[in-house]
Amino acid sequence: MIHKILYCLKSSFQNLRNNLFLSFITTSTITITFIICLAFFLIVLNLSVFKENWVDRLQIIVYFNDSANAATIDKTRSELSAMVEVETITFVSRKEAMVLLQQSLQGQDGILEGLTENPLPASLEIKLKQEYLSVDGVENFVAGISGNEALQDIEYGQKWLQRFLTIFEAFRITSLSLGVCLILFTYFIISNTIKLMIFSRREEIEIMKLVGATSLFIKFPFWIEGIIQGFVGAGIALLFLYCTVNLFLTNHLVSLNFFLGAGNFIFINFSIAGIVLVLGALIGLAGSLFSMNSIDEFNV
Amino acid sequence: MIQLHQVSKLYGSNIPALSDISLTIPKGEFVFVTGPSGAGKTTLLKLIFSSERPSQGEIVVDGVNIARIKQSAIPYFRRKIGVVFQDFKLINSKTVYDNVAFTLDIVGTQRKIVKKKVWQVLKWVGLLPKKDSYPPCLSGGEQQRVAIARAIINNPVLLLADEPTGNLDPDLALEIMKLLKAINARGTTIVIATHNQAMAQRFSDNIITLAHGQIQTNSQ
Ligand SMILES: Nc1ncnc2c1ncn2[C@@H]1O[C@H](COP(=O)(O)OP(=O)(O)O)[C@@H](O)[C@H]1O
Ligand SMILES: [Mg+2]
Repeated sequence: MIHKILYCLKSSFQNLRNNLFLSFITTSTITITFIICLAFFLIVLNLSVFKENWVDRLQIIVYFNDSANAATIDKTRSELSAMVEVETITFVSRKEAMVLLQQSLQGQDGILEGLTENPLPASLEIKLKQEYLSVDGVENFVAGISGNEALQDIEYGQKWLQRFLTIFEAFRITSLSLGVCLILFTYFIISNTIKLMIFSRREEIEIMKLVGATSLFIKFPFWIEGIIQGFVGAGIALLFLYCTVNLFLTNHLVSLNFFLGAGNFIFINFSIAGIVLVLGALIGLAGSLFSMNSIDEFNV
Repeated sequence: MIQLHQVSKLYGSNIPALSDISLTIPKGEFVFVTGPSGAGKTTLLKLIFSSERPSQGEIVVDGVNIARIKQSAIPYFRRKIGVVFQDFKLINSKTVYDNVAFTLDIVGTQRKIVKKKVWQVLKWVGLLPKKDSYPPCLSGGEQQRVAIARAIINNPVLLLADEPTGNLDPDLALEIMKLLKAINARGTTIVIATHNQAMAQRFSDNIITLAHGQIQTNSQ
């Protein structure tokens, strides 16, 4: 049995060597395919992490009308506190808002000197409970309170959020459809290479059948072949992306990390590499598995 | 060894390549199948080798009913049978040694045993000195001897030869026929298809003559 397996493996590598040019073309095509796929995947992955972080830190600020008196403010505050979504609520009076503004303008408070009256509205800073911290959750909450007469404005970075979500969705859909296309493409490339290899070895296969080789024994080297091509293609793609990002983007990575918050930038790690390699091998295996008809059709 | 009972074979068209063939070839025989080109000789060997399935009838070879054999059982059935063709069917990119060893490699024989057996058989057909040559560097007679070595290395119970001397000069053909006779003397049943009536008559009394897919004479 061991001899048989060794013989099989030997002939898979012999196959690769005999069809070096073909293998080279196939593998580089797969590599390019995987690089494109992986790049998009990493972008989407990081954007989604960014989205999560952002939403996590999201605060909703409601500003009161200037006409709102203490009683109205109190009433609104307790109404809002009673809502299931709300975790904490902090009142910022007009005075406090002014103090905060002055603090943030340290040294430049001359700007405020000409003011005869405080233009800042009183506000409530609302933090939602974890389970409502999603884009939908926030928007539902905002829609629910926006009818309140006492409120002048509700602020939660909506413009940004909308724009970001549009970009994010575009990326997600593009990468998803690209991923599906490129997987099919890889499958197609591998399957055709295997078919060519079978064709170039048809005489040998014919003779193998004549001398009583089992179907499994004849096909096994081609399966290995497909697996190797998918695996190697995916592997080179990983290596290429890893090196490129590390060589050229290291400086930018730091700022990117800062931007995303708390070092959350996700790059190729062991589990991603593992998944990609397995995926490559699986596509390769599928590509060769379903190209075996021609072997069965050699009638000897 | 071989029994055919009312066997017919149609290839797509309505004209049968073989029709209503019944014959018995006992163990240890040396039998010729002759007839003009297109008579159905190759088809008959293909049926016996399970390359083609009969359209009708039963075929029993070495106790196996190959009219109903499972596809997955065919390789194991073939390991008991040697085949030789007019065009030798050698792998040109493998050495003589590897061409012959191939038959043992695919059944997972140990390297040491493979070596011993290949040496033995190459010596027996007189090609040991050429074991590292590639088939295209050999003469037709030598190539056919390699093919025969490959066919007999597993000690088959049956050897089928389809026009084994068709590509060879008369003196080389004679040599190959003698080799086949010697294999027969070791107990292997041999069936040779040839359109060469004279050669058949020279080497055996057991001649089955086909014409238009039917048995014309059977001198067994
Ligand atoms: N694969 C095939 N498909 C269709 N017809 C075939 C095939 N093989 C043989 N035939 C036909 O069957 C008949 C017998 O052929 P064959 O057995 O090769 O004869 P022989 O070997 O005696 O010359 C011929 O008429 C041939 O054209
Ligand atoms: Mg013929």
